[in-house]
Amino acid sequence: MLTPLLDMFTIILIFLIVSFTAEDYDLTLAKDVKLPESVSRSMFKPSVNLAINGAGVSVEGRHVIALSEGHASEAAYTAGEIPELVEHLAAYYDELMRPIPGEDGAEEQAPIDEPVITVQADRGLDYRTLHLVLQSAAKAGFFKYRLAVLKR
Amino acid sequence: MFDAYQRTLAEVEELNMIPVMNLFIVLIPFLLSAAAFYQVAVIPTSTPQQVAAPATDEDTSAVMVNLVIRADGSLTLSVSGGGADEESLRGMGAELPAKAGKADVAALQTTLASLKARYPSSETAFILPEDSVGVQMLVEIVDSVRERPSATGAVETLFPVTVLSQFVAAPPAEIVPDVDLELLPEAPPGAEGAGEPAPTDAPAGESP
Repeated sequence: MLTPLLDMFTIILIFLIVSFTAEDYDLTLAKDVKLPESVSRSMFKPSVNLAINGAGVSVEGRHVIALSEGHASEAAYTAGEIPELVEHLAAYYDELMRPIPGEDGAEEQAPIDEPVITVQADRGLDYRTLHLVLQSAAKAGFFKYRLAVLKR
Repeated sequence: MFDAYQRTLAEVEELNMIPVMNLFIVLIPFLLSAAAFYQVAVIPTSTPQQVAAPATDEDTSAVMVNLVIRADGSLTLSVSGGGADEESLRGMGAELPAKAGKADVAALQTTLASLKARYPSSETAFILPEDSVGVQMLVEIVDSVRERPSATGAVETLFPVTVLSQFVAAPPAEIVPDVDLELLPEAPPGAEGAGEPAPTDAPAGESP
């Protein structure tokens, strides 16, 4: 009686075990962001998480500024930065780059080699906005980005 | 003897499956919740930084590629560095018109592969998209600049270091003041970014 059910369970179990990856992605995918598709195979590494969609920009899951249909204010484009975002990211930068005090009076250690930001950009955005956000991040000290993409 | 067979058959039918079922019922929801149905990868990239001028003896085995992406999908490839003179650098560049509304990725990769074969240690490509280029299109082109899948399934690396800058259209000729360029003071070394069209931003120098 139970045999077909068991067969099914066994198959599902094997499939799930095979597709199970023990790696823990510390990446919370932002809601309402449709990532672009890519053939890149570079692996994700933990870093400051920035998400852009048509409605706004959020850093580490916290909404920072609003966009109207994927566009920032003209003043921001003229200035080449979004001041609120720069301010917000600069706080993260200071946090990341603060030296870790060594134990027992040992020398302070630099916390990380270089600050990196993971950018989850919606595939419908245009480059003008993306570049503005990247420029703002650069002003805050983050020059390197990882553009999050979905593997094809 | 026949009785013994009958007994074995009966025992097989009565195999107690409840513990196995319990195990499955625990394992399947756990694995389902942990399963990743999409796989996220990343494209490492950066914005241009203002750095000290490179050593005077220019590396002749590496060139830098500037790729302008227009909203309609047409691409302009130009090459700098490599110790080559202006004329041959211009010869290496290419205009790749859009094909059926999309960027001509195949032609781009062919051009880049031949550049890579000529200058094996070149790695850097400056990507200069126009304002209205979409993110999906940008990612596709960056992908094709970074690597080319070959027929055998192996991947050929082209220019893995991509720098995202912005395309700045040259001002119309009539509003350019008639200035004798010879009289202008020379730009300090390292001030220019990706060659032409120069990125307007070099944020590294501006932050503390």
